[in-house]
Amino acid sequence: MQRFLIERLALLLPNLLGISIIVFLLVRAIPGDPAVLMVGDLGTPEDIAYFRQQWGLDRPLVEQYLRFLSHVGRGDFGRSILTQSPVIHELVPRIQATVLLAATAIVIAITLGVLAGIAAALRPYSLVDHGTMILALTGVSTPIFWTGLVLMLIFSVRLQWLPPGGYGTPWHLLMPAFTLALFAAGVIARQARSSLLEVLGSDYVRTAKAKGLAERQVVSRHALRNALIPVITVAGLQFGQMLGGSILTETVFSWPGIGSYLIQGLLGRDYPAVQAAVLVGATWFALVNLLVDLLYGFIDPRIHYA
Amino acid sequence: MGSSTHESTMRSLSEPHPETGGGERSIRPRAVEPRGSSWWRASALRRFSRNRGATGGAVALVGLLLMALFGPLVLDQDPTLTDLGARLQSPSTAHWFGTDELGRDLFARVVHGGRISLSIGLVSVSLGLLVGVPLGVIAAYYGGWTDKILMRVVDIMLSFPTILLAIVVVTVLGPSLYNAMVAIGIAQMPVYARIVRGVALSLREQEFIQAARALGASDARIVVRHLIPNCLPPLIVQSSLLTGAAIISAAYLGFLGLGAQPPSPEWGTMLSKGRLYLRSSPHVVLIPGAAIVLSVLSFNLLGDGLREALDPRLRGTLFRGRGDR
Repeated sequence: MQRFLIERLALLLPNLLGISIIVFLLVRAIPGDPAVLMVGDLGTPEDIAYFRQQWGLDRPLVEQYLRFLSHVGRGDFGRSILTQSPVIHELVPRIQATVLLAATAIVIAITLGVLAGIAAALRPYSLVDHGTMILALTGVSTPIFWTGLVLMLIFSVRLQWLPPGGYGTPWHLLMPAFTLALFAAGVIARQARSSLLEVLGSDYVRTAKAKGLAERQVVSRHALRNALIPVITVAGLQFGQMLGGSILTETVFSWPGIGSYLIQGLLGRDYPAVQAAVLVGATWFALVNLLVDLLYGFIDPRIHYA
Repeated sequence: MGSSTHESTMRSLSEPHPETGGGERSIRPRAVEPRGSSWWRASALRRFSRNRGATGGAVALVGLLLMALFGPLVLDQDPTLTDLGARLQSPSTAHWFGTDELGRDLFARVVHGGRISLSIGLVSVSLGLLVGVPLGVIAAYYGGWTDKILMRVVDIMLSFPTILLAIVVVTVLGPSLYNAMVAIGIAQMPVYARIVRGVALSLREQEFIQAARALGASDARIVVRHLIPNCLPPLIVQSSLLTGAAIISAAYLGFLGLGAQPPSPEWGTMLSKGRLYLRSSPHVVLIPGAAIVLSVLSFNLLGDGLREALDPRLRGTLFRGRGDR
């Protein structure tokens, strides 16, 4: 386990470096002068000259990259072109908002998904099974923004129960979280069903039944525990993907998170903001995937990492 | 817990479990199945046609394809023709799906949009395959440092959520329909490279490959005759699922203003303007969205059915791909 931990952490480093290279090259690959791109059209020639000197844009690319890395390491992403304030100041509250949204969404997704998966697996090929699985597949086939708009139409426009967007109260959180949760819930339900079915067909479950245990006992004590291991992995991966989904959800509901920050930045050509948002997004994803791997080894002692 | 539950699970114990393969859950390594044999093909076809969801998906896709191919030829309405006198009309006999915020006929736009969405799906998946498959073969074949470096690049690409990676590519290339296709293709490429490399590595140890080698088969022959056929089932399944995913991703880019640009009737692009009229004219939002859901659902049903038919062992792995090791 310890060796695996070290190995896995060692793999994280090149990944993070790779992400930083992509983010670094991002602005330089866009046609145009990176100094002008990073300072914005409204920057004075002095601003541009200052930026060029500060980031060493006349230096070799490798040196520029190292400079970029050391700035980023200190939390310096430059100034936002749109607001002129340091990007890092805008970043922190937005990360908090996105984490709140994604954490709520994953709790909803796991609850819905696992319950649906169990309901389906306990009566395979029944109406309940077909119904929940069609719902689950529809969930993974629906664009997130459309789910959001349909919920908005029902709960904000027609019923007027919930605010159509914004941030601050639990009521504001409800619709975006459900919107973001729906896709993951579908994935989790499918995984829960298939792994529970597999476990229910295994020898040790047959033994448990043969010795006269009640159905409820067999399912909750014996089957579920093993069946949920792959579900946890899938849920973790979905949590990582939620950063992608939050880009859409936050745009629909004007939720002030990292995703809407990225899109505002892109549309306003605010490249320092774009760089920071992409870096945060990819790092989040890499870290969550690492945690999922570690958790997997932790809850299932049968797994040995070679 | 009711007795019916008990019954159904007891029944599943006595019969070979249809879901997990039950008694038939063979330990045959995937690679040595005689994939090319006519017996295997017939049984795959039988498994597929018995699956109602899969056949439903296939039928819906044929309908969609026909609509995309011939719809624009049959319809005489121009999907970009504006009529400001007929803005935001509800569905009627004159305009089956109503009109949008510029008075354009929504039915014509949805039909033409189908052509765009299907092309996006096909082009980006082909692009992903064209780049990803050779990369996987190269990585597995050369091994060593080549493999290490290629797989590291693939890992780094996989450490971006798909949509984020596509957004990064579009940022560099500029927002347009074609760049969206390229971006999505690039974002999907690592999945294919992983699949091919995995199959190739498992094949390398197989006896029939060693036998072929001993008989003097060239590397090229082994790749074409043995590796590619063995990769086909997972590749076909993934291609179907990823076509659906590509359509969604393109709609996301369009919705965010980073994909097809107005007045293109791409479904996501239509929604990005239409959402402003959610309150007064919800049909502008509901109809293009429903079109996306229906087509993606068809590809997913087809992919699920293909998986069961071609490769029962892969069951339940839908969307698990990313981050698997």
